[in-house]
Amino acid sequence: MGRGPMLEGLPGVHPALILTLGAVAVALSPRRSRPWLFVVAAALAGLATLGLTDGTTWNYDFYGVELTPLRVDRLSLAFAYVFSIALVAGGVFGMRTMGALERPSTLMYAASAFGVVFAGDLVTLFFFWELKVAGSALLIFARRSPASAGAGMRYLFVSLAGGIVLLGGIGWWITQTGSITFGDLGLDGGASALILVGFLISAAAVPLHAWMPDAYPASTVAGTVFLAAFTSKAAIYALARGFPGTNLLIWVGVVMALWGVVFALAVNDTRRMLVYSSVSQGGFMVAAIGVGSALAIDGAVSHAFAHIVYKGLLLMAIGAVLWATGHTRLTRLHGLGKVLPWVAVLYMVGALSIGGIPLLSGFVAKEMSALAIDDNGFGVAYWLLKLASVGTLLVVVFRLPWFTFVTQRTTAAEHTSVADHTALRQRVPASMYVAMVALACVNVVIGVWPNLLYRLLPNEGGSYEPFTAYRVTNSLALAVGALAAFWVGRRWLAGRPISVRDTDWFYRDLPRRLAPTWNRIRMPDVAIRLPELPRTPVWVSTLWVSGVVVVGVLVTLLAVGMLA
Amino acid sequence: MTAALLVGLGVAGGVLLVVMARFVVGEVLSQPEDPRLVDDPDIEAPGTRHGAGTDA
Repeated sequence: MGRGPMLEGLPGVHPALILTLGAVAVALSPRRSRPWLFVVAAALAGLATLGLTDGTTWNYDFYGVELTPLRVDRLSLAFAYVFSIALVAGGVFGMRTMGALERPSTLMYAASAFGVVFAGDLVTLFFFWELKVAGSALLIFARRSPASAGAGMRYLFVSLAGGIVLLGGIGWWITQTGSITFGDLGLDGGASALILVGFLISAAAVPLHAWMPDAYPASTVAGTVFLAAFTSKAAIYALARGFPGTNLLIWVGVVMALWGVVFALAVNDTRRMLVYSSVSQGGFMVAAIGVGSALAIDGAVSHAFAHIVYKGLLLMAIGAVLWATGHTRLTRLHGLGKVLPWVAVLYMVGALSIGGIPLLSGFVAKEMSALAIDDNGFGVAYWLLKLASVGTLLVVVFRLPWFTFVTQRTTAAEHTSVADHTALRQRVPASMYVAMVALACVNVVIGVWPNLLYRLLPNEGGSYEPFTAYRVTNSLALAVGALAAFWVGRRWLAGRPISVRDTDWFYRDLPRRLAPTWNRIRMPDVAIRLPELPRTPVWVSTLWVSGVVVVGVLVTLLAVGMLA
Repeated sequence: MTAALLVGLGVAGGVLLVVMARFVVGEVLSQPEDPRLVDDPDIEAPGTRHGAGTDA
C-alpha cells in the first residue's frame, strides 16, 4: 500500500467528480457568486486529492470491460497535488478577469487533467484526454478576439489529430495485447509508437510543438496560466507512466530544450516567449523520462511540479501586465517596473526560480534530472541541456524583465510612445497579487525546504542532496556566464515588430502559398479553383478540422471492429 | 574547474544562442508583425468589447 493518507478520515473521492459538479454549479449560479464557487470547487478537489491514498483503485464494469477510472499511486498523486495548487491559485488570480464561458470550461478542463493522471486503463485515459482538448480549446476561444479564434481552431485541429493517432495506437495495442491497463508500455512495435506520438504531440515535442506557442498566448489572462499547468504536464505524466527508459526520448528532449530557447529569444510577444520556454523546460523532463532511472523519474516529476509553480507565477505576472496595460509585446512594454513594482518583484521570484538560483524551487527540482542524465552516461545530452539552461536564463531572467520592467528605450519602428504605457489602463486587482504572492511563497518554501517536495516524489528523491557547494557554485557560475552573454548581445535581444513562424508554417502559410500554384494547373473539364486569400484561409482550417473528425470516427469504428 | 567551464559555456553558448535567435530565426523565419491580429489593445478591459463577458 505504501504510505498512509495525507489527511486521515477523508473519503476517497475522485477530484474529477468534484470539479465536474463544480463546473455545473458555477455555470448555473448567479454571476456574483461564480468566482467564489470556482475557488471553493478547486479547494475541495485539492482536499479530495489529499484524502486519496497510495494504492486506492476504483474498478467499473462497462459492458464487460473492466475500467479503472481511479488508480492512485505516488506518480499520479505528485501531479494531482500540483494540479490542485495551480487550480486554486489560478482561480484566485482570475477572480476579476474570468468570464461566463471561462470558469466552467476551466473546471471541466481541470477535471479532465485529474482524470488523465488517475486513469488506470487506456480507455479511461483516452476519454479524459479528449475531454481535456475540448475544455482547453474553450479557454482559448474565451478571449473572444479574431486571433484567438484562429489559434483555437488550429489548436483543435492539431489536438484532434493527436487524439486520432493516440486512439489508433490504443486500439492497436488492445488488439495486440488484450490488455487495457495503462502501465509501462515501452516502445516496441507500431501500437506503442502511435501512443508515444500521441503523447508527444500533447507534450509539444519538436516538430509537433508549434500549436503550443501559437495557442497558449492567444488565451485569456488567466487561461494561459491553466493551459500551461495542465495540458503538457498531463502528457509528461503519461510519458513517465508509459515510456520510462525509452532512450529515444533523451534526444527528443534535448531538441525540445534547445529549440524552445532559441525561438523564445527571437519572438516579440512576452507570453509567447514564456510558452516557448515551456517547450524548452518540457524537453528537460522528456529527456529525464528517456533515462528512466529512479532518480531520473523523480527529477522529471520534481521538475514538472516546480515548473507548474514557477511558470504559473511568471504567466500570472505577465498576465497582470496584460491586464494593466493591454499589451504583451516587448516593443510596447518599457519601464513598467516603476508603475508595477510588485509585479516586477514577483515576476523575478519566478524568473530566478526557473533560472536555477539557490533557495528557490527550480534549483532543488531541476538539477536532479540533469544529474541522472549525466550519471547514466549521456554526457553530451547533459551539456546540451546545460546550454539550453543558458538560454532559459537569457530569456526569462534577463531579456524579458530587462526590456519590460527596466529599460525606457523604445525601437524606432514602434509607433506608440513609452508614455502611453506608464499610464495604466486599469489597476491590477488585489486577487491577482494574492495568487502571485501565494505561488511565490510556494517557490521559496520548496527552495528552502526541498524535502517537502522530495517526499511527494515516486522514489522520494533517493539520496539526492541539492545544497552542496559544488551545485550552488555551478548554478551561480552558469548565471554569471549567461549575464555576460546577455550584456554582450542585449541590443540583438530587444523586441522587434516581427512575427516568427515555426513548424506551424506548414498548416498556416503553406495552403495559402499552394493556392496560386494549384490554380495555374490547367486540366480539361476540371474547374476546381482555390480562392487566393491574403491571409490563412479559414475554410482550410474548417475543412481540416471536419476531416479530422470524420477520420477520427472511421478510426474509432475500425478500433471497435477490431475489438469486437 | 567545472564552475569555470560553466561560466565559459554561459558566455560562449549564450552568445551563440543570441546570434541564432537574431539572425536565423529572427531574419529567415520571420515576417512583419500584423498589428491587427496580435495583442488587441482593448483586450479584456471591463466595459470594452472583449471584456464584456467577464463576471467582474
